[in-house]
Amino acid sequence: MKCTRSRSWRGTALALLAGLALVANASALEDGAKAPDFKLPSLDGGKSLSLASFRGKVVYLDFWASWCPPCLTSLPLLEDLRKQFPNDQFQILAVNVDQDVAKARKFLERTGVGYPSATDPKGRLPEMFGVETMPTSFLIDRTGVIRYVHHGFRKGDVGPLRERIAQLVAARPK
Amino acid sequence: MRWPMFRIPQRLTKLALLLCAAALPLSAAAAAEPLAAHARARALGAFDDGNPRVVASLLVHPDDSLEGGSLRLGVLFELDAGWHLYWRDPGESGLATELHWEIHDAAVEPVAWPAPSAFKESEGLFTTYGYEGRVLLTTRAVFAAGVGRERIARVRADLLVCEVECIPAKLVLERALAGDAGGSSVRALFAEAAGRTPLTPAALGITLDLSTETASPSTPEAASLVASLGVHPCRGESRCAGVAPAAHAFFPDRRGGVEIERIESQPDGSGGFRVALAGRTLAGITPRLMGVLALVAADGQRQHVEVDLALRSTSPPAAMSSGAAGLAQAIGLALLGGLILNLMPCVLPVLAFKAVAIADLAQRRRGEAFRHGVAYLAGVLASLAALAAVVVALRAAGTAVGWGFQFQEPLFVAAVASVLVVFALNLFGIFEIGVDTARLASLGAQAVGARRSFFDGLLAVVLATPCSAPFLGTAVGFAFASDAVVIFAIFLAIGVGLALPFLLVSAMPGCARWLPRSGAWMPKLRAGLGFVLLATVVWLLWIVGRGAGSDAMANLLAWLLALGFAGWLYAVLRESSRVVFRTGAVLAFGLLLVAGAGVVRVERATATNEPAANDARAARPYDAAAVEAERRAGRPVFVYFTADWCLTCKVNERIVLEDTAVRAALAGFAVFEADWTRRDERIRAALASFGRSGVPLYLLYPPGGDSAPVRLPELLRKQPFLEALREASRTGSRVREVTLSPARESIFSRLASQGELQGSRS
Repeated sequence: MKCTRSRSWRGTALALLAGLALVANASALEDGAKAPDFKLPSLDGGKSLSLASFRGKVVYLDFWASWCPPCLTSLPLLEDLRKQFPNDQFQILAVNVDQDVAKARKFLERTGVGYPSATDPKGRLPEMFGVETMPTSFLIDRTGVIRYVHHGFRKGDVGPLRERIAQLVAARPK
Repeated sequence: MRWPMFRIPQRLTKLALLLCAAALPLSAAAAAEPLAAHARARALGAFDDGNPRVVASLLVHPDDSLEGGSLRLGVLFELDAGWHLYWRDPGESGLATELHWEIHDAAVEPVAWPAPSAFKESEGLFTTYGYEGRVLLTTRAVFAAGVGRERIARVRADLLVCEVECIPAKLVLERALAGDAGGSSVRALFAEAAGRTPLTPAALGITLDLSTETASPSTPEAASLVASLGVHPCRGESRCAGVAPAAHAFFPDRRGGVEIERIESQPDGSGGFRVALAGRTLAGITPRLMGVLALVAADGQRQHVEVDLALRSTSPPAAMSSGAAGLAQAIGLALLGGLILNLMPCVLPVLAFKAVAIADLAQRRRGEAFRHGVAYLAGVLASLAALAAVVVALRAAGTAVGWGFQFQEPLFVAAVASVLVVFALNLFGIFEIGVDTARLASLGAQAVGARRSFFDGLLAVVLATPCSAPFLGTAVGFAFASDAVVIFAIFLAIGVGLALPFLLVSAMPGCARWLPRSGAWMPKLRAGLGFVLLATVVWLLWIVGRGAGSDAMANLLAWLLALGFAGWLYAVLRESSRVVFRTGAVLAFGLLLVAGAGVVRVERATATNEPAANDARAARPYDAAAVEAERRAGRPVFVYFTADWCLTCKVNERIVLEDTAVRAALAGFAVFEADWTRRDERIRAALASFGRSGVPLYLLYPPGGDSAPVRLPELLRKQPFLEALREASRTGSRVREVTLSPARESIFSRLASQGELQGSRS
């Protein structure tokens, strides 16, 4: 028999993961859920990034990969969006899931994005957040509660997104 | 609230609707009837809020059966509007689609990828390559022994589908391979896929050349690359004449170790076009330009051509520009090739002939000797000019031919055999050809008649054409890819090279003084050489026998006998002093020829070129796809282009390829024989794709699909050949497969597993 390289071990691992997920009823985090905290290395090799360090600000948590064209569409548009709000009120935190970190860095350079991006080549965080499609983004309020989940990305998404961010930024903590 | 509480019922509703829809044929292409019997032959994937964005079906070509030993299989992907999946090289983003087959006791060939479309993504910032709507990725499973049993094909497809979001999918399809009647819709799908699958340049009839501006493009270090791919149309056929680049002219494939970032095409002013490519070579691999060229032929049809060219400038046609410098270089090579042709086994009988003439020349006056040299040159040039004229005429008529093509015609071979028999009889002294009786006094004098030298020249060319020599292949390859004037120039240059040694000796008879003085030994030597010519006739008879059968061979022998007898009768009667006998001699000769011609029916063989008697080399008939499959499977490949009428080829095969040590060394290689004994457009085109128009040609491919073939010299020698075999095996172990999606991102696998889970859960 002439086949491609066997990945049976991987299949087993996936089956286990799938089974666990089914038992645990793992699913995408929805609005209203508390965003789980995490700490991941920075893609640019700088200090680690944790969600907790952004507490008190509205955070747009964006999952992206270099193999995902719509993610690449979103990068420069999100960069524009970020500049429209004060840094101490709103932050974008990106989580890159590329296994090839160099590839991800190359795309960041090409798009000239200034916001921080964490690297999660093992894909633990998408699992934690129940990410099923790419890009998926979570708009998190100042208290760490998910207020909106955004799937996919097209140019026209920026306007409504700005509205939502503006509302959350305007809502002062009680 | 956590989404499964309300989303699962919603998804279930959608899926139920969808499954109802699936019970009906989803499309004509889905071929529901045969698939219904194999529930797992279809799978849904890439769920987007419960909607599957892709439906995959495992299809078997309805015309194939297990009894046939191989089956065409295909995975049909049907995508929602606006969604696409990716080609084998996804481009600047995306993920390549992968098919992992599991079929017991079967070798599955690489996927035949239809030409992709280019997608401008992220506001045109990135270009990706893939398919939208529907696409059938086909392959062929070749079964080992024990056909006829029920068999199961299983395939796992890993793919990414994207629109404004991307969803990975892992789909597993399975079906029995026996007893599926199939339908016309499936047949149509396979035909559509085949129609979109790129051809080799040779199959389309165009020629490509690649020039690079990078100083050392072949180094396995990463470097910037500026290259230009020349696309030269064929002549005559509307599907390849006057080709123009399609809107997206080139789909680069990074498996060749080259990343292309900029593609621009422009007309080259001679009916073709050039594609300027800028990018870089990747580290750790000897780079090749791989990809698919998209073009529009004069008849408006879109055509796709598979490109796989070495970047290093070992290929002389690639290195030679089509300008004046290229022509000068080709003419130089033609001269050199013609010169070396004198040493090739085909020309040896003529050389033996000329040895006698030279010996005689040594005794003659300078002016007379030179006249013979010039006559010989004239004979050589006249026949080469005639050959060039035939080539040009055939090409104008739309027939592509190669060097030595005339030997593919049994009638031509028969004619050459006849000429050789007549020459042999002449050497035996049975009769004389076309010289006046006054000059019959001395046998030595007959040998060097100027007219005879002219005919010797003709014969030298006739016998030389089935041979290719070092440098000659390159020059002729260049000629066949050029216009009529260049063909004539190069053919005549070959002639000058071929005649040069004899011409030089005749110009400087002093050089030949070392030869023994002519004397009584000369008639004996001439008779001996007659046997050399007859030995050549034996070879020609064998060619006719191989090509047209033993009946044709016997017919030819009968004809040669009649010819010999006619010659003898002619000589006997002609010597008579009576006019009536002399007239009778001519009449008898003519009558015998007519009678003999009636006996001869050397019909052109209709059979295809089948390799015979090559068991020792365990060669398979040449098939570009099979070569590619072996390379991808990691086996080194040896391909030899040969023909029965190519004496150089036969000598190489007997002395080198059938040597015990060589056979042992070749055991680890997949060996292919491309037999060009009879006309075969496929093999002519394959030769042309390597810049050649004649045999022999020897190619060594290191294992792995991304490495350049090593072209071996026309004259094989055992030790260098063994060394080349060892080197090819070693190179293979160094060649690293360039992975487009290194180990495929874990998120991808994980998400894909979720996709599966979601599907099952819904």
